[in-house]
Amino acid sequence: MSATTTKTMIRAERLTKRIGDSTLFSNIDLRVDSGECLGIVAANGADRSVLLRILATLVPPSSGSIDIDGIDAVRRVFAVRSRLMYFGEPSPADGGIRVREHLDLVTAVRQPDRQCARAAIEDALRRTALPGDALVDELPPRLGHRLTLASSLAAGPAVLVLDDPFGPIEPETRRVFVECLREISQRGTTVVLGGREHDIDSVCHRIVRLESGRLAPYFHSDLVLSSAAGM
Amino acid sequence: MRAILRRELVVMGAQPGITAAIALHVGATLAFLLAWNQGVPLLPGTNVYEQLQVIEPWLLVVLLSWTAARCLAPERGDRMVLLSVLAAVPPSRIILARTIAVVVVLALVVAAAFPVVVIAQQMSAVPIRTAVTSLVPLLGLVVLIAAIATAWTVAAAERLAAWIGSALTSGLLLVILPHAFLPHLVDGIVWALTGVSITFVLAAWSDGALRYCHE
Repeated sequence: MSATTTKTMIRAERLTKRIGDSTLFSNIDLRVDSGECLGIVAANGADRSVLLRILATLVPPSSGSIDIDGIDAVRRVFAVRSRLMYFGEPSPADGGIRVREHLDLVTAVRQPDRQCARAAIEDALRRTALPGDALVDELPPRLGHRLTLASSLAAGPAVLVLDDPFGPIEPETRRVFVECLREISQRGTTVVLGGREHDIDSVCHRIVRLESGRLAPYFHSDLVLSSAAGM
Repeated sequence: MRAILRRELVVMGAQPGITAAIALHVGATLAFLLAWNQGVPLLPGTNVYEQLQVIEPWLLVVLLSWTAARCLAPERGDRMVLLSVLAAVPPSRIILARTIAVVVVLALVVAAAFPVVVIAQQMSAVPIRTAVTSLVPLLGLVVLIAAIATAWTVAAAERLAAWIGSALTSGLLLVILPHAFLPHLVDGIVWALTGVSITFVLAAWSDGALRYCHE
């Protein structure tokens, strides 16, 4: 990666999470650069999900700090949310909402230029082969995954957090998913991906493992993706 | 704000409850006119128009609370937080958009029975201007019920509980808040201001209480 263009997008320091008497992890330091795709694996999937939910501002840390794109994600949680997207659990009920309307909603704040947003939505629909007029709550699961991708492509968030996106997914959808994730990363979006090693190793620049409440380097490949920071 | 308001309107518009509410409102007011022609019910008021005006707020308290509870988008608690993250707007904006959307829908339900009000006005030889202005206090009542119903759908897990809670609270406020025998313009303003106050309190609360998901 080019040192001149690399920017730290996520900086977490001394991150600790306690629930009741149990400590899930403590004093975690994490730095993820712009355009980097970081994978997080864990012996305990629930702990991994909690870490991802903290990075996505869904739950607060017990102590420690997180900056996302230079903004304090604990103190200014609503400001940070316009810079990130999270997918990891069922979306809010979208009864009656069509795919294009859903994309319009997720881009409304993140893409203030509506003309650009409309073009990005059409491009995302084309790339993911999603029918724009289909009802969101009637999409089959494989198209539900594509909606996640289309949302990420259209909104172009600074940070994309995905928890176990490769669960029960068919090969063709997986191929499209991996291709789109690479493209999203190359466009400069920082991607944090939680999942099993064999699911995410073809997408990530770097993988860390959460074990016994600590983060440790697990895998590194500089062959998988071209340097995103230089894009 | 516009995108989240559009979303709330689309979600509400997709619910079959709105058509049922309109049919119920028109049917109930028509039935009242037919019953009055038979000499019942005997309410205070000099003619059918005035009697309809007396009974209408109480009918709306039950019917509009049901409509709102039936049609409002169902997200609450963690789902509301997820929607806030997805749309990148604070929960207070969602609450405001949701209340505005439900006001629009409930106003539609109220307006749908206006032809029946006009029939009552004709039967009672009351000026048409009176019938038109009688809509204003009812719109104030719409704002009040919309605010209360939105609060109850955020608080209650079941739509039935939200309906009963909303109807009881609205009815209680209708009793407590001073109003004329026949709803007047000032009554409508008082009801609307009370509804707006409830909405702002709920919105302010939501930015704290719905900031994060439960752990």
